[in-house]
Amino acid sequence: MSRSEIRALGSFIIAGIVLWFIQMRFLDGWQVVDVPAGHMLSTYVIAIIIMILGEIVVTTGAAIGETMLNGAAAANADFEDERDQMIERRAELISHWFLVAVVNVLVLQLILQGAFTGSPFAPLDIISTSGVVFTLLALLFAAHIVKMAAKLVLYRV
Amino acid sequence: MAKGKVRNRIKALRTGEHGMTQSQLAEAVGATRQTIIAIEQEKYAPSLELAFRIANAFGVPFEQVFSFEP
Repeated sequence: MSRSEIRALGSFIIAGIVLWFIQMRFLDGWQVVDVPAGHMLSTYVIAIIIMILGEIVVTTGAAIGETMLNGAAAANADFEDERDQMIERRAELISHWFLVAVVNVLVLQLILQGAFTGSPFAPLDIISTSGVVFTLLALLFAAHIVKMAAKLVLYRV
Repeated sequence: MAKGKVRNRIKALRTGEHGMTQSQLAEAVGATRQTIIAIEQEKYAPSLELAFRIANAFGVPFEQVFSFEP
């Protein structure tokens, strides 16, 4: 496993933890709970802090891990080369199309919610402030998870 | 148009007369060991620049290392 792969795996796990934390703070089953602004702000700040600290730990850990797995020569090897950059670009493209797809689903959801209040076709309330904050935060981290998952797959094929 | 395949003799050259490890070749051409593995297994076709660097590392002409299968 290269340093880039270890970093992608670590980042994938951390973003998953953050996404789980966000849903714990906002969801009750499939329903977004109305929460006060302070609760939303603390969730946002904690999520960002977990992500930043996690990335620092993963970056440091990846360097140590690669040296342990691949020997001392790995420490001197070029960290990122053209294949890493190609994989990064392709993973970003996949993440972009994921975002496009999800935003389209959300637009349809909002239209259905506006047209048929309480309809089973529009089960998730995303019109309230809590709903909007949850959706945007979840989407942000979900896109990151998709990008990291794509990188992990692309490194293996 | 059908996609062709870039073939190479990197493993034969590296393990044969040059006796290099993948890490040594990676360091010589400025790539990661994983990239050298992917190129050797023909899972990844290198850029023209990296391909020339690899040929230079072996001290042989480009066409002795790489070939194209349409």
